[in-house]
Amino acid sequence: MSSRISLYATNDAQLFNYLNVNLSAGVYLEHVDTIDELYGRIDKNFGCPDILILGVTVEEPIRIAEHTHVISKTTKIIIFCESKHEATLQQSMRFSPFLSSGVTTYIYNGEEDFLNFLQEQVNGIEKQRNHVSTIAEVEKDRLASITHQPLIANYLDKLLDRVPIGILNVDAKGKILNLNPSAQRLLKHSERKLVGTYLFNLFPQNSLVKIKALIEMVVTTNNLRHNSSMVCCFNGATGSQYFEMTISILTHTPNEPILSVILQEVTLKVEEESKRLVIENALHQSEQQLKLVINAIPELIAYVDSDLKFQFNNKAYEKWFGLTREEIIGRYIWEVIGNKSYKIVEHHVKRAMSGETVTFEEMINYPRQNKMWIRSTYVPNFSESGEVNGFVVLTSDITQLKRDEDLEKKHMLELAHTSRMITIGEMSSQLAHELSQPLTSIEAYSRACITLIEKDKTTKEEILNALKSVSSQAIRAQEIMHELRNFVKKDDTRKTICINELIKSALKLLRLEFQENDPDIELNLASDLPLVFADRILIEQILINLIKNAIEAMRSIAVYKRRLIIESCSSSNNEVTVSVLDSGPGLSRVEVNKIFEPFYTTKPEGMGMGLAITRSIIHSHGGSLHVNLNSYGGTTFKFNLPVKDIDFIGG
Amino acid sequence: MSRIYIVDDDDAVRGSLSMLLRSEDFDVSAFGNPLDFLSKIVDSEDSCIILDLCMPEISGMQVMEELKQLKITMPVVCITGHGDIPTAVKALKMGACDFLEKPFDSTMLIDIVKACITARQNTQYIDAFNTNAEEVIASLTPREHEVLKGMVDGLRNKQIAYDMDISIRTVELHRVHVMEKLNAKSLSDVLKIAIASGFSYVDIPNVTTTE
Repeated sequence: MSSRISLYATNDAQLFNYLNVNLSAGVYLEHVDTIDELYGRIDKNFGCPDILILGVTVEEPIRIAEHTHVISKTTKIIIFCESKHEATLQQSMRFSPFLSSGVTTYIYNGEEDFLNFLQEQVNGIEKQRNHVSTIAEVEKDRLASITHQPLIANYLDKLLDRVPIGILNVDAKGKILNLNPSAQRLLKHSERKLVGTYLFNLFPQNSLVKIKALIEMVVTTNNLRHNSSMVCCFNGATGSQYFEMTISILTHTPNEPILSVILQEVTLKVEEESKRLVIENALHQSEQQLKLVINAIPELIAYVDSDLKFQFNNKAYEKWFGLTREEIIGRYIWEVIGNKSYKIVEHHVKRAMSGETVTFEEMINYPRQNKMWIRSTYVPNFSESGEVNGFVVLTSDITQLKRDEDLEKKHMLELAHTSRMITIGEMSSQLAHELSQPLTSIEAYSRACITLIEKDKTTKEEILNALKSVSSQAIRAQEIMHELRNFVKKDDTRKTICINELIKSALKLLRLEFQENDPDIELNLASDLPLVFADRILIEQILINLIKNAIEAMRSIAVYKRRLIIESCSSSNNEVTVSVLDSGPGLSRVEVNKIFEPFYTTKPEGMGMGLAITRSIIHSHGGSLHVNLNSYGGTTFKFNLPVKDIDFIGG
Repeated sequence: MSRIYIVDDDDAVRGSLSMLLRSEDFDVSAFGNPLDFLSKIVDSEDSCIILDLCMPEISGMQVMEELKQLKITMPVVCITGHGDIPTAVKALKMGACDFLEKPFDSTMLIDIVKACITARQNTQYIDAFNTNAEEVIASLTPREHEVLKGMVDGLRNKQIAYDMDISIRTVELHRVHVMEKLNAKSLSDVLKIAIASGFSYVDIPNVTTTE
């Protein structure tokens, strides 16, 4: 039986020829060109060399040696090396769990020396072969019986070669003893370069310290079941890479433990993580900004869930109610705004919960606050299935706005009233002037006639002429009156109107007046009122005048006694009647008789024209105005308007 | 026979007043055009002018101005359809004897005309009137003075009350006292006495500048 010697990565033809010639007969010498070819021979167990020589250019001699010994324990392996690497190679070999003693290093020292060295090995093999031929038979049988064992080892070994995880063994100080191909790939160096170097030296300074500390920690902990991991940065050619490094104790050699290091590239993960962090930060920042804005808004902003409990509120909300966030969040609406206020907004809440966006203005009396006008918008929030999850509340205080609006309205009313008064004043002044001329002459003619007739020194003709002049001047006065009537008629803008609507709009316009005087208002309005044909603005003005009079009349009595009652009804003879009742001190009989006379007034700042004008307007509409004392001790002003239009003007 | 000049653009008023005064035995010259009147007027002791203040071509005020230029001192009774107090004060300041607002009681016009003619013939009466006026005005309280000023300025009671910060009733009361003290029967009387007294508050700027 001949010995097979395979040379891998030693393309020295001269050496090969020399060995081939000089080695003892029966030795088969061959070249193996690729690692696959070599592994092919070993794996097949056929053509497996008795001696494997690994050239000095082989990158990972220990891995190949381990691989070989897993399959064929008897193969002797000679690793060419340079003298400076010999010690580290030998140390690694010593710690490798897969290597038997049949691995030696050899420092090349000329053909002859190597021939002798090789011949010695060949001789040793042959001697051994002879000595244990019988044992070999038995061994062979034994091996055959447990063929699965090398298969498993083979499998594990292949796994170790192919897993994308870098696996290294280091000593207690971090010096690399051996490593798998993935580890070489990850660390970008060959086994030859790495074995014997310190693992941490491959890493930049900040990681270096941490790795050292980790190794130290694992060694100190000294627990076989304990893993310690860290992520470290590695400066690769393509930029920073990140490894997750897991270190654990593999075995205990008599002196010191061997550590196993698992390297996993986590660059993508780390990058994603850092990207996520950036995004998270940005998100957090924008959330902060949003919060800042929401809190800076003076309007109340809150979110109420479907249980009608507060889920969110802004600072303005807390300030408004004088509550802390804890006193608002999780409370029911009515617990925060008060039961009384909730009653007012309840139907709006229900609408919002039914999925409607509602905007409303209400007068609300919040706890610990004055009455105020608010404008609120409820925006429902829908779930994906379309149910209402709750709603957003936006509320602002519009009290001042309302007050300004009311004041403006009041001013407009006063202005309208004043301008109407001025118009009436101008018209009456114009009328007075126009009429003064004919009246003067009528009076003068009459007086002259009387004087002349008394003195009895006139002629019939003279008196006749005077009377003709009187007659023509009277006609002139009538013409002036006609013109005036035509003018008034031109200005008439009558339409069919609903008295009840006018009453309500007049009350609305007088809102500010009520706020100041706070009477108890009672409305008894007939629902089936026929429409009347009248001037909307004039009738509204009349209602305002009468209601204002009623309020002013009650100024002298206590607030709780103030009652304002407005009634409307239709009577059988096609009339609509409106009554304005007050509970004021009432009028004396004299006052009742004089109240409609022009320039008669009971008010210190009154002109005494209001009721006179009111009556003339009602008359021009074909209605009448009356005043009575009522059972509340006050005064009732009652006017009626015909349902059909009556075309006549004047009393 | 006393001659009365009537200057009024309204034919009916002019005609009726002419007939009225003729029935009272006055000699009447009526003019519808003030320029015509100014060209024909003859100054005489026992004459009187009834002048409408509101006429289209030249106003009554301008007519009075012209009369002053012509040195005609006949008494002038102003009549107007637009009777407001500032106009009355202005007319009286211009030298009008009296001021009547149309329509007026014709007997009152006749009384005034007669009184004017008599007064003209007795200048002493005017002086007595003036001294008396000064005395009477001096007897007014400061509050009454203020109310009088308001009356002369043509303010309504309401405005006077507002300016003085007192009630309208109080103003009315003061007013009654002023009328009593001045022995005046009408606002016209009050104005005449106030002007005669040289009442310092009577101040119509555009009139004083033309003087």
